[in-house]
Amino acid sequence: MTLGRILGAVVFSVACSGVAYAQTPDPVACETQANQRKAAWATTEHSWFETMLELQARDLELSLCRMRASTGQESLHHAEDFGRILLTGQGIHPVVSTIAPGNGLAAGAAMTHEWASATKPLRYRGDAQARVSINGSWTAGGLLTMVGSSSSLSNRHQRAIVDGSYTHIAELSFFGLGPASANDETRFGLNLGVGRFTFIVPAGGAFELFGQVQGLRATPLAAPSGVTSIETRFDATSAPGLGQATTYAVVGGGVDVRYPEDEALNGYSTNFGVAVRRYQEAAGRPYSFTRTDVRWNNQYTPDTSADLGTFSVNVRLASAFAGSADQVPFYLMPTLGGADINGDSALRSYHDYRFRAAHTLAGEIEYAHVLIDPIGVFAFYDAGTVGDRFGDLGRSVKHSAGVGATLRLGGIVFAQVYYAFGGSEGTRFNFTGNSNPTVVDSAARSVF
Amino acid sequence: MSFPLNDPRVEHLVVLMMENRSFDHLIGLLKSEIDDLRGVAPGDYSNPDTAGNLLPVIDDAEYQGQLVADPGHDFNDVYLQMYGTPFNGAFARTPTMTGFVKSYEQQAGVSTGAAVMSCFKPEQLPTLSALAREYAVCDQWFSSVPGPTLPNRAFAHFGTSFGRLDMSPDYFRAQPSIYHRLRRAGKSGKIYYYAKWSGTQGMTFLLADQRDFFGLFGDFKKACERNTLPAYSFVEPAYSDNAGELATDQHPDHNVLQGDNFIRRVYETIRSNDACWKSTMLVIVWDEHGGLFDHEIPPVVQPDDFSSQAPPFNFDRLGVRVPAIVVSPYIDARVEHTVYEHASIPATVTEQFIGDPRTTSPHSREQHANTFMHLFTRDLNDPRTDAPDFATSRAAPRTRARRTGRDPASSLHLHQVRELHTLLMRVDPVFARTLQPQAVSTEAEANKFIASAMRAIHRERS
Repeated sequence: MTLGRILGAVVFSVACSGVAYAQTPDPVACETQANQRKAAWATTEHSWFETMLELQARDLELSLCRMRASTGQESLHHAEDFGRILLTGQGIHPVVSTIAPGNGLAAGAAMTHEWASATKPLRYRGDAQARVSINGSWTAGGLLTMVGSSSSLSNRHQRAIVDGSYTHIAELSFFGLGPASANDETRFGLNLGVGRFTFIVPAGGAFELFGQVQGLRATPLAAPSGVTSIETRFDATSAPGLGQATTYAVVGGGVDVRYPEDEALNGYSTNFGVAVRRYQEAAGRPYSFTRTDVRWNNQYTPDTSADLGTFSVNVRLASAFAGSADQVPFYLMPTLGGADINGDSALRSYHDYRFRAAHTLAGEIEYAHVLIDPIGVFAFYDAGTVGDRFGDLGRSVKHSAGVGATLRLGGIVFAQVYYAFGGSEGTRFNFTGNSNPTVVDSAARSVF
Repeated sequence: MSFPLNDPRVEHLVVLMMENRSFDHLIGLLKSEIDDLRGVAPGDYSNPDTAGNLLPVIDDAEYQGQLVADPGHDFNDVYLQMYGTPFNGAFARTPTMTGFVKSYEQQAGVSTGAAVMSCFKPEQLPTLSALAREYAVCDQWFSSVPGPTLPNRAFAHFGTSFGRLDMSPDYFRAQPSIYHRLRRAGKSGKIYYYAKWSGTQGMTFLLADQRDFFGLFGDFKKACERNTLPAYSFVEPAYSDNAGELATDQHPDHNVLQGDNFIRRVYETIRSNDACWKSTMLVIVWDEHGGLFDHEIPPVVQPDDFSSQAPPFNFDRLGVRVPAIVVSPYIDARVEHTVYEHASIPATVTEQFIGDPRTTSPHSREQHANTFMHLFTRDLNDPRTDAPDFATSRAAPRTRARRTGRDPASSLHLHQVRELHTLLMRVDPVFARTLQPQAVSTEAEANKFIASAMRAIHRERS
């Protein structure tokens, strides 16, 4: 079977998903058709790529046929099965997500493939994806994960990750640097090219160490027409690196600790991580710096028969130090407010990327309680401070508070909506989805 | 006998359900050590490939990387594996268990089929082999459905799959689960799934009762250490590799040895508290065979209350056999030949904690399923205190050494000979009359007969 035929079958199957056929097939005909296709496939050799696509395409075709050949609930379940095959597991899938907050929804395709060595204790997973958002942002990249699979009672294994991506972000907000920046938004674009190798080693108990080398190319861009672009109000003094592309060789490492070793829904759990990375500007421009990231998440769910809710306290520090002759480019500084470029939230009543500086410290306290399963409610308090120097942290602390509702499945928040207030810059209403895998299916992928 | 049994030897029943491996594939080769185990030896059975070559059972299974494509285990695939011919709407009379290789080649392509005839040597799986040697190994436990994971797991949670053969995880409206039934009886039941990143089908049908019915493996550990396990616990392995932790479910092509280690962790977690160990029965079972060869013919059963439209099926025949081991300090080493399926799990939970499953279980298959509360060989005051040595687990053979081929053929082997001869009479009566199935008496003769018959059948069909 040719690759073209396989791709055609995938496209055909997907296209048929929303189409009602004039004739309802005989249930046995679905099986007969599938049997004929399978029997033909068994007569020749195939590459892994052909096999991956064929298995996905035939499952789509069969579930679609069964959906049409059945009625009522059974037809619905076959339709759901069609969706499961289309969106999860190995193969090629449509994806819908965001690229960076403020750039709208992005759609594209992703491919996942897993394999393992029979002769070496190594397992592999390859992911590739490309997405385009409604405002013209786009990203494309791939990731290869190699995990050791020697026998281990603790089931903690060394792993190496190679990833590369190129991302064009059409618009990011910029309000100026430091805690005193005015609430007067300008925007800029950013191109990011990253190639990275990470090696992670279990260090006994719940400790992990990691080392990383990467190449990074960052290019700030003017904002699209129609919005206030950054260079209309800022220059290289007030926005270091404005108009300057930078290329870095990055070397870093860190430690991650968690307790307890095995996840539990009840009781106390914590996760602490420190990472230090040296960003050396490769062309000798004065933008080299060293960045430290510290993260400490704590959660407590009383192990009682009555539901007393879950308390969380999380702290996050990002601190970038440049030498006396260097500066940290504004577009590589961490931000607080709404969500940052990675989607991590802080000071939720403020605009996305509202406070930007070389040093940021954010904390949150949250209480969540199940209202009527699976709907829960939560209340939170956020505090955050930014500083041009590390010693400035704490001099101007911003606050947010809010309430929200969650859709919760087995300890995971899948979607949440919140209303946040506090500070002097208004309130904010926000909805987010979570992309954790949910179903009994390895390499599951949800649509958020 | 009065119900519920409330047998004091089982204050806690724990079921660990793994993924997608057949009995012969994982523990069939223990036949060389355990007398009376209906397992296999290399060469005992064979399946034809797409080109007509016979591929025998071999002992070269690898922990990973051998199954380049996931062996088929949709209803359609399992039918071919069991009957040797594609499903055409009508059920053949008796399965021949001769379509596994062909089915796999329909996934991975020509000349790949030998992988599904591969079996693990006992020393490759130290935990599983040790537990099978030391406790009750059930060699007639079949998956409930000739189909994939979720309907089979549904039988463990509900005693039925509600007529479903699909893999949609939507069981939102499914009721009542064994967990709900236990709660109504004033008892407790919980699903312990591995971690937040490793979900479970139960998430959908237990949505409204998450705090009551969910825990993670860390919660299971704490409950064992404190001897506060619920009456019934359903433990799930990790279903995918994640951030340096490997999947432990043994689903092809996940690492099988890591799954073996996880079984040991569950066993040792229960043993971490002596009171917990002495009041707990642990059942280790696989949800379905995952497209891997097994020679036992799945029996017909009482039809379910529900049926499937597409594909048409009345749930009146079990799926392929899976490994199952029942562990308790009150069970001595033994082989159990009673026919079980996954509906036996809620039936046994019902029998022990709720009432007579024949009258209180809500669905037909569970009402008729055999239970396993009779497997005890010791009294409450005489628990075992020994423990298997997993590191060097090579127990002395219980009886005889590896078979030679001159051993008498098993009744099942003879049954297969007769079935093949019947089939051959339809497709090639001239050749069939030259064979003498009634003269077959040894394993070697049975193997030779089957090989000849399969070649002839394939010749006629190609």
